[in-house]
Amino acid sequence: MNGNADKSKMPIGSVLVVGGGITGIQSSLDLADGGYLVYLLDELPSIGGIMAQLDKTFPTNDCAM
Amino acid sequence: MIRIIRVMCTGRVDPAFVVWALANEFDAVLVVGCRIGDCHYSSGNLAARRRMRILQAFIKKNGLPPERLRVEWISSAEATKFSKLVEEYAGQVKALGPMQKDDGTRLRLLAMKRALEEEKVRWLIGNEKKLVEEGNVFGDKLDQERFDAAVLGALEDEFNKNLIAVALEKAPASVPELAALSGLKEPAVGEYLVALEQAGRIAPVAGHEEYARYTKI
Amino acid sequence: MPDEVTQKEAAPDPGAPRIGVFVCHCGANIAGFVDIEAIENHARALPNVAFTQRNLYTCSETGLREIKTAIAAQKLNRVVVASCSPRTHEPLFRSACREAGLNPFLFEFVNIRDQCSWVHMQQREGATRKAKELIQMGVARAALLEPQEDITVGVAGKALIIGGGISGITATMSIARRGFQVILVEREKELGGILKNVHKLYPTMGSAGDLIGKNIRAVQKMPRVQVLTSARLVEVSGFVGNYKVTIDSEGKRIEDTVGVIVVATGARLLTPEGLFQYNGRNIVTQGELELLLKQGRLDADSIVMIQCVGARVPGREYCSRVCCMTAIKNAILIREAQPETAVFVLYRDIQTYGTLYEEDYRRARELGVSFIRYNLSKPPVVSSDKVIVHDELLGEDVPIPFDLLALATPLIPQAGFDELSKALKVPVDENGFFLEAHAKLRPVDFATDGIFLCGCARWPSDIGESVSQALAAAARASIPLSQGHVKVEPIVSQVDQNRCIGCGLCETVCSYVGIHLTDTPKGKKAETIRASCKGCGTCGASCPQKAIRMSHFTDGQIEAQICALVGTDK
Ligand code: SF4
Ligand code: SF4
Repeated sequence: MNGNADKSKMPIGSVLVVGGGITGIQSSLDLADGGYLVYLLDELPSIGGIMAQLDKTFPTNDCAM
Repeated sequence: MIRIIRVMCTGRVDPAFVVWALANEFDAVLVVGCRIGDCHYSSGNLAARRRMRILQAFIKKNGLPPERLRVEWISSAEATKFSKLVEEYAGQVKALGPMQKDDGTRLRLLAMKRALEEEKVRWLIGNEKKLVEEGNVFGDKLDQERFDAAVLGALEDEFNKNLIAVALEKAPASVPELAALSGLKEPAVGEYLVALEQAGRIAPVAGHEEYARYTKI
Repeated sequence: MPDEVTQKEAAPDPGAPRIGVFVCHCGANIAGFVDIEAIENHARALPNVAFTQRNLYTCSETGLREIKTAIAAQKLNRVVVASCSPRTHEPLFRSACREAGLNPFLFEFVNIRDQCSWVHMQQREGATRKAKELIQMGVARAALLEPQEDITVGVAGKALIIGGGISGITATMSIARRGFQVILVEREKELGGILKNVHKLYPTMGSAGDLIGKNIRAVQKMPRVQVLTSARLVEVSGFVGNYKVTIDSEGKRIEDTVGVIVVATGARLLTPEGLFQYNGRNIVTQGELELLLKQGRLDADSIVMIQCVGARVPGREYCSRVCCMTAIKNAILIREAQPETAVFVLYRDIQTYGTLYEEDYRRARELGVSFIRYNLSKPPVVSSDKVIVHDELLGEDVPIPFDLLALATPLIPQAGFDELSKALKVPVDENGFFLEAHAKLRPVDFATDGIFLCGCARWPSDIGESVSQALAAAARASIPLSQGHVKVEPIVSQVDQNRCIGCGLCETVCSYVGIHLTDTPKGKKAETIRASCKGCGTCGASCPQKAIRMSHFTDGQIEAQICALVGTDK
């Protein structure tokens, strides 16, 4: 394929994401998809944060889980 | 209440599916796709629109209210429009009353489905744009009316043939019996029987009755 | 034509169906409106169903574990989940199957939340029956599902950004900094977008000109970035990783292949023709007031601002979100510079969300700006030099003389949004703003893979929000670019060349060069190009020989679903 960034020059390494709510989880997923090793940290026994405690979310009425 | 069947694009909707649904106790079929010009798959809905128009004419010709099939184009962002449409159409279908569920109707619907699966019919339907809008290699175009007549004619022919075929799948029958069942004249029935026999789909039953009986193979 | 990177062997046949049906309570979302136990019992009695289970939340850690455990323990080879929408949850359940060693295409989704418990909230019995029937149809389809292997194609390491305002420039720089090529296309002669005409920015009171100027210079100097002005996207085809684009720039045609596209076309301000005596002289828009301020030409002793002009009204229901803060910012700037100038803000509601904006609102009041609330049913009446406003709180008509009247008009979709929407095949909402894949969970993605959006093209946003969205879109767009390959769904056409007679109809109806005729020892036959086929099924529904089989949407699967409730055979 034409012109993918030279793999040898690609940043490598790991990222620490502090906070395992929706923001932290989405960041971790995107970073991991982008090729980084991610450490996701949460002070509670499970990730999910406030969103995991919600029932439905506006405006789509989707279940927050 | 409606039952939704998800397909990738209305372009996937084979007219045979619609008839199959009517044959299976659905009272009506609503085909909904992206707005014309906005097809997520570029032009699948245009192909669907052409097919469904012919199908509607075919349904009507077979004595069913054409409203049993409805085709609408709505974007995924138009939730209100969709729910209004469904409500309105549900009311319309209620007014039409339920589909007849007797054996005769089912037989005819199955024959319609088979007709829609026949090569000649599908070739014509699939080439509508080419035949009507672009013309053949010599630039000759078919006008819409002549095209419609050709497709509907082919459909009727295949329908009759398949009506006999599906009837014989149920039980062996003779020419007069088949004529009574299909409403065709006996010589016409004979012609279809010859065609079916040549295609290796049916064969005469050995026996000593006055009229030969035929059965599926 | 994109190359398929790998083409795996067809997956092994999963054997006679043993279907597991998982029915989700979704807390009370589903279980509160249908009889979930009856539904499970119904499912258990269906043909080929080997196992059923109810889950409080099928998508939770526990629910997914239950699916995986059951696949192993019950030797399930098909899974049906009856819960919510495939739009949000299909990838999750598919990957649960994959993790348990089951091909993800042996999973079938039945939506009993949106289609049963939500739409028939008041009809418990009917909704329950419908849920049973939908599951019955899903099970019938599931029994016929076949495993599919992912198709992997390469990605062109280049991005196309449409729109050279603050959002587009930010996204461009962010992607280029990661090492990828970027083409930035701007319709006008210069980059900068709407910010070129803005005076100062809330809440920092920094100069808009400085900010955008700095960004324009930076992006133009940036390596790997090609800036095209007076340019327009003429044509797009292809799919994620392989979009073929044709751009017209100052009369020149440029063709290229890009991996991803970001829409950052922004918005424009409504011109309030016919509203509140707008004349562009002493009755101007808030945008025109910005220009007066920027050019130092403001000369007035009494300034009245009317908010929500042409916004939050029938026909244009949405809130433009930036106008309240713009008015407050300008009111502060005016009062600070010329304390003798009276400033009145006639508003319906004030939106100063967040930690900093409310502070500006307070400051404006401290500086003596008068905020008067009006109601849409009694809008202010404007004559040449006076406004009469019915003060909602006082309950009285208040006349206010003015030298300058500033009308806060909303941001509206950019001209030409519909052409772009058609060219890219991405949707817009009823107002004409581009519609993201999911308002909450995928705010900068389009539903179409490889196309992203940010800034005011999506919804009126201020600078901070536009920049965040641009950075987010750039990050999302960089994922396929850095992976170098993408998986495309293996939902494609397959030709049975023994049946095919080479009529070529499939090639004619396909809009994607997904199928073509090739020479074979048996003459011309159709053949699918798996990496280009989008799986729409148009060819399958057209083929005169019925020689085309649409994977994951075969005639057999669809017909089984249709007749599942009657149980008759053909
Ligand atoms: S339409 Fe069917 S028969 Fe005709 S070329 Fe395509 S696959 Fe072959
Ligand atoms: S399924 Fe659609 S995209 Fe694929 S070859 Fe057929 S018509 Fe083309």
